[in-house]
Amino acid sequence: MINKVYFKQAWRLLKENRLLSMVSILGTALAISLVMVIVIVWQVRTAGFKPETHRERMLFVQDGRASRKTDHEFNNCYRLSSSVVKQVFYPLQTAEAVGMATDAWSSLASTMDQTKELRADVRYTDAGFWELFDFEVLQGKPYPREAVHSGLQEAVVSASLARQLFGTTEVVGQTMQLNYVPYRICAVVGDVSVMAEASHADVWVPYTSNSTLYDNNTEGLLGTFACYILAPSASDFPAIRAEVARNVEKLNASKRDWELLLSGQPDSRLDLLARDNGAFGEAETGLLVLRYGLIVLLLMLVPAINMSGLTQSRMRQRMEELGVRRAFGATRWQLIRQILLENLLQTLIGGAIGFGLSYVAVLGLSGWLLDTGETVEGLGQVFVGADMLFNPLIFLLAFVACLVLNLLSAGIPAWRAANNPIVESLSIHR
Amino acid sequence: MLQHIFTLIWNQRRQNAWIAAELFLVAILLWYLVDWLYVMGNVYYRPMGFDIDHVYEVHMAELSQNSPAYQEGAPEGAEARADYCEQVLERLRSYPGVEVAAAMTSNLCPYNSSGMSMAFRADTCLFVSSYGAVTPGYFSLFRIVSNACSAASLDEALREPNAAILTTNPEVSIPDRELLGQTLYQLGAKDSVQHRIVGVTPQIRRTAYDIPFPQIYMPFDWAVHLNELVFCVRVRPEVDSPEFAGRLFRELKESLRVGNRYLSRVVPLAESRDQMLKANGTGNQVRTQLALAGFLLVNIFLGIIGTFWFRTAYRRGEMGLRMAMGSSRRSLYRLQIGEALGLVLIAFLPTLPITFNITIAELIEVHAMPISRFRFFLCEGITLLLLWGMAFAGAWYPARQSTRLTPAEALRYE
Repeated sequence: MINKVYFKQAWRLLKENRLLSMVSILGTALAISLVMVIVIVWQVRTAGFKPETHRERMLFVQDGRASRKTDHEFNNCYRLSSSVVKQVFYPLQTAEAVGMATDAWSSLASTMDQTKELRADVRYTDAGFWELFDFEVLQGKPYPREAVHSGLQEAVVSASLARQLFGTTEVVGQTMQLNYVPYRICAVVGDVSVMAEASHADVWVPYTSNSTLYDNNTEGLLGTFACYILAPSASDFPAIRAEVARNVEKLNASKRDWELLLSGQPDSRLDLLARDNGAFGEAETGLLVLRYGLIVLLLMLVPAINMSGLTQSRMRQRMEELGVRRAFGATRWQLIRQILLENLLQTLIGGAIGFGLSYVAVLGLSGWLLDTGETVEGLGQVFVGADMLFNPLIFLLAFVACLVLNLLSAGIPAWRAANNPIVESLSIHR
Repeated sequence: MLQHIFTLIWNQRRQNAWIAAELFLVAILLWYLVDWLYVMGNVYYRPMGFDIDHVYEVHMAELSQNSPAYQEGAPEGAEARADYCEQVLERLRSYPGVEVAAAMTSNLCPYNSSGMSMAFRADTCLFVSSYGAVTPGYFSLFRIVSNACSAASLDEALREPNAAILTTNPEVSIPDRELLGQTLYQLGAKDSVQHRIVGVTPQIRRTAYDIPFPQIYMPFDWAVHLNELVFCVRVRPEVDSPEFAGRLFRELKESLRVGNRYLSRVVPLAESRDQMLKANGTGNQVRTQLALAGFLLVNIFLGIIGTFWFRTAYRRGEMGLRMAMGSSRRSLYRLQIGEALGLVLIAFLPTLPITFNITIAELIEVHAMPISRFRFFLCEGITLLLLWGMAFAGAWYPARQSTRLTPAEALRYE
């Protein structure tokens, strides 16, 4: 009841001082929008979405480093070889599923009679790859273990590619040509956003169907494969890492001149984003989080100081009113609460505007803000689905940010105004 | 006037405290961003050491054994590889519009992400350098000139077996002219492979945001795997067009089926450059820093306009009194603007010891550019000017409004 009075009063106050209200609301909107852009981008880059739905319990191994046993100054770096994946990662007991895949490479895709030809991104995978992700299978079934074992020339294509080459998405059983090699299409899946860095492509084929893949180099240690591990839950990560370390040790003992160094991999999704020196150093995830935390704090601090100053000045105007109320028995806490609530109205209006602006920015500037560093020459698009953008965590964080900003910007002035001796408040010169 | 301004600021120190604190914090953050942007901007415009206008990358890929077009029993070995390279170059050179064609190991193709480096020795100098092989024509293709002789003769000089051409290297204490003719030892690989230095070029940079790194060019010894080989062509400007890459690809698809390799991609090097910059992310970083700087400046603007708007409200009496005592509107306006600028200066000066210490501690970008007095004062100067600009923009409207009152009206408030 009393809160309603406060809000009505706050609304009236806002309308009275138009320029100042606008300045405060704009300042709040700017601060909230910047913080929320960071939050949204962070979410889209780290949280799960189709088909990489289980990112939070997935581990990644992308950087392989073969180092000479006698002198670690000599190194060859690339990704893992298929034999390393089979020896070190396939036998993992603590994992739920393990798969491997190359990057998505730009290739020549055409119909058998070559009437339609285009560039498509092709990813070479094993059968386990399909158990790690939630692809939307529209027709057929992805190639099974036996197909990979035999090196069958079967392909899974995206809906867009099917339409571009054949005019329809019902293409299971048709044959297409990939870099002059014929492939029978065994499944069609829904398009995958380029944001799904580990799984996106236009065509997926068994890695055994291409004899030219760079594999088993440097004593069989290096190749073009990244390995993905799906854990039962994130709490199993340490157990998996320990088992991987044991398997790598066994592998290295069997090698003569070279050994494989993984520098802390398998990485969680966040570790992956923090890793900036390949397999030459540990992923500095703590540092990354600290840096972002510091930036957000500084970004919130500047407008908070701004707003504090303005709130302070507004308090000066209302000193008399506050003094009278205290003389009539209002406690300090009641006054502080009133000031905070009045400020909250302003913060929420600014926050709502800022929140809307942040979505506009992320979608409008997605080329910059959502950049994964990959250039796509095929049909892939950077699209953000609703499940990526609108999740409850983001809304909650936005609200929390508003509350924090409100506290920062009105807390000190409210406390000081409420603690001003009554006599002084009543006699203040304007 | 100045002393008057500072007295006014001092008298209102309690009200000014908040905005001064904000200015103080922002001055430090803004200086950091300005410094970074200055260094990046400066590095960006330094010479690359090579030219990629009208140059295209031609990629040949290996045909899979699963392809019906695969030919069994194709010749292998060093001579077969050299033949293959020569055949491809021939066909490229005879394509209308092509000025120069050359082959190189992939790490020596600009904006290619592979790398290969090794320790070398020249005389008594030990240094680490990137290295690879090129065919003659490489230097005139990329317009790489020499410190001692022109591009045409660099290509000629490389025809000598076991020749080597270096980029000038600050770590090598021997002056460039004396390097010519010296023996270059390749350490660590198979025994000490020897080359004779026949040319020195200016420094090469990897991308516009990188600092130079040392490079060594050698002729092919054909032990290299053909997947490491990249071809490039330079096209005559009058023939070049956005469709050239597509046209070359379509028209040479058939004739460039050499051995068991096929033409897989023709890409303008400008596109490779954009891809590499995108992968490195520096371009986006620049945009982000600019956006943060803009954010800070807008906050200053809002803070100043808010603070000074309040003053027009409760300093009406003072303004009226001044006008009644004979002050002109112009000088009242100038007084308020002066207050804003003075406030910025007072908040700015104490940041200097802090930013100075940050500079000395090398917590700023020092890899691309060393710290220097010029850099420090230039960036501080830019920061101050930006803050003054925002302060002026913020104080202008309230100052103008406050001078619009008539003295009688203003004094009536009291």
